Amino acid sequence: MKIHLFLFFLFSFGLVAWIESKNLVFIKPKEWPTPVYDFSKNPLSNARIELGRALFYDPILSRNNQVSCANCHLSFTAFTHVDHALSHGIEDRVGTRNSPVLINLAWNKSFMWDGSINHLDMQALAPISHPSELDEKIENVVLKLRKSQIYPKLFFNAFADSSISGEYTLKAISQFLLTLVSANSRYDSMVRKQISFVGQEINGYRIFKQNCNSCHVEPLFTNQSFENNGLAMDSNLKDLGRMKITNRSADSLKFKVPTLRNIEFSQPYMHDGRFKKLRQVIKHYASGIQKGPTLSGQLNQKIDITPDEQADLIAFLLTLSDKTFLFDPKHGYPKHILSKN
Amino acid sequence: MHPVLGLFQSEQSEDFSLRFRTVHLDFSCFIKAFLLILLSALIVAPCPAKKITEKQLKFNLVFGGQILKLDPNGSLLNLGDSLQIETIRFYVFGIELLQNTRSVWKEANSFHLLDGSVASSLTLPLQIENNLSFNRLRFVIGIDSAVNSSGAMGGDLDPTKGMYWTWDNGYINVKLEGRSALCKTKDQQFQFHLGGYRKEVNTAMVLEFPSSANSDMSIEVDIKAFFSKLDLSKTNQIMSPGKEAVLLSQYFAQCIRFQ
Repeated sequence: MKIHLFLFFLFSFGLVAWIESKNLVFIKPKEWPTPVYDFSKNPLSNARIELGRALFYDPILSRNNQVSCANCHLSFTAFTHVDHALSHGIEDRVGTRNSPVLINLAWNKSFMWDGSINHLDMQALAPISHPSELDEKIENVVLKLRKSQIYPKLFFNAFADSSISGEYTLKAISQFLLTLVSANSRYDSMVRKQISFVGQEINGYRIFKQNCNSCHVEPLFTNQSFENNGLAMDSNLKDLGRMKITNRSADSLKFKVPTLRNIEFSQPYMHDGRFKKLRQVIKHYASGIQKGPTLSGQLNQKIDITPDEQADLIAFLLTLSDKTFLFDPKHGYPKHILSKN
Repeated sequence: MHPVLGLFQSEQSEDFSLRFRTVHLDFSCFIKAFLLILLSALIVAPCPAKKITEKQLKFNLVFGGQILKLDPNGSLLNLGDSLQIETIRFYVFGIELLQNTRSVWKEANSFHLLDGSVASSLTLPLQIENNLSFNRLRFVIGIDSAVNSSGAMGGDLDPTKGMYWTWDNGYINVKLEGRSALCKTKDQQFQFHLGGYRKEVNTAMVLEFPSSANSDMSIEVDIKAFFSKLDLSKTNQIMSPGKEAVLLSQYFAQCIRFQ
């Protein structure tokens, strides 16, 4: 009896050691805050990240098998839908908001412009089910994945379990999204004292610290709060933002403060994509603020910056572009997996 | 050095690069852990194992005392007065036994999706130690806010079970669907998807009943009480968190009695 117990422990320990050794540890950039995501509940591994990447790029997630996550979240444009104020999904149906960038999501406390989603794992369910996005049920996605040529093996490699479930599907997508870390911009090099800012960048950074960084807090360039930044409400969309989730009038017209990282590539701007150019954004803060009862306290006082200073500020914002992130081949279409489909 | 899985590793620059590294167990750690496990096995092994009894917690769905058996294919069950019921599904969470106010036993991973059309889902086997004395039974109807904020989960909590909201996300604690001539809606349908985990609109209901090891643990869910409190002509579609969902969840909790 005891020998059985002994062999059992030996075997299980060996198994644990083997599985453990295949797991990865997420190392945050130095001086950054601790990630919000609880990696202990979804330990990273190469097999899971690759599976998540395949799912992210695979239109199998949509009702008609034609639209994938990547349709609105392109790697080269900071994982957002460039050129479209309001993103469009299946059969070119147009949604009501501008698709957000997918950057540094391990640090996000909530998701969506209105914070309606409380956890990265659950985020993908929203676009999968939305009638203007992928318009599909997760139950159906799982059925399609089970029948596919490639996924049963990928799921088995990832989770050591032959059954494909909603849980595994969502956890794999999370793993890929967690790898989308942007921390190698010119700004980051400046912080690490590898380079120094020059000319307009120096003045732009000073103006930024005076006027912008109470909400766009470094190093993530967002404090993740919900604020009314003085945009007049679009009379057709009538989007009340955070209030729709909390039912509190104090949250009317509030939207999540977005990160500014890779802002050069993520146009158009704002929750409804109303500004195409960065200079329109800066001009809005300098002279376009609409007063209202829920206006952010940070914007009560006019941001008084000259056109020259506005140009300097833009020069600083361009230092937040991270080309190693944007053109990382590991973020791109996984041809080696999906071409076998 | 640890194997590096970062993508732009370079020794010269201090660029952020070491994004991931594989967990590496060195040999001494292996030996230590092995000895620890062996030791604990030797300590645990001579102890007589506690004897476990299976006790069943049964939920009986009824309407005014009449037992309800819903059709798995979704055809409607007549309850009189033109009321027809199609779906009854709800979560039972956090089953616990107490001696007075002290908790003496908690079920591990205590999440159960009960479905009126799946008879086996209505009986929950509880693995309890022999001779455990307790005089109260506690459980929650619905999923609490901590679990609602914990990310993707499997089993009865898998989002493919049709009990999860995707937009303003969170679990649907209770689903009641059917028809009534009182409903001026498409096909005279009513749909109650009750949920919500945020503080102001939390719909998880904690219930506690006197119980003991000697008696059967049988719970009656008489949904007549739910419908008798409602005016279906006015309230027939509640499918998002809010005040109404909280009120209706209370109505549902009031249907539940220890038998």
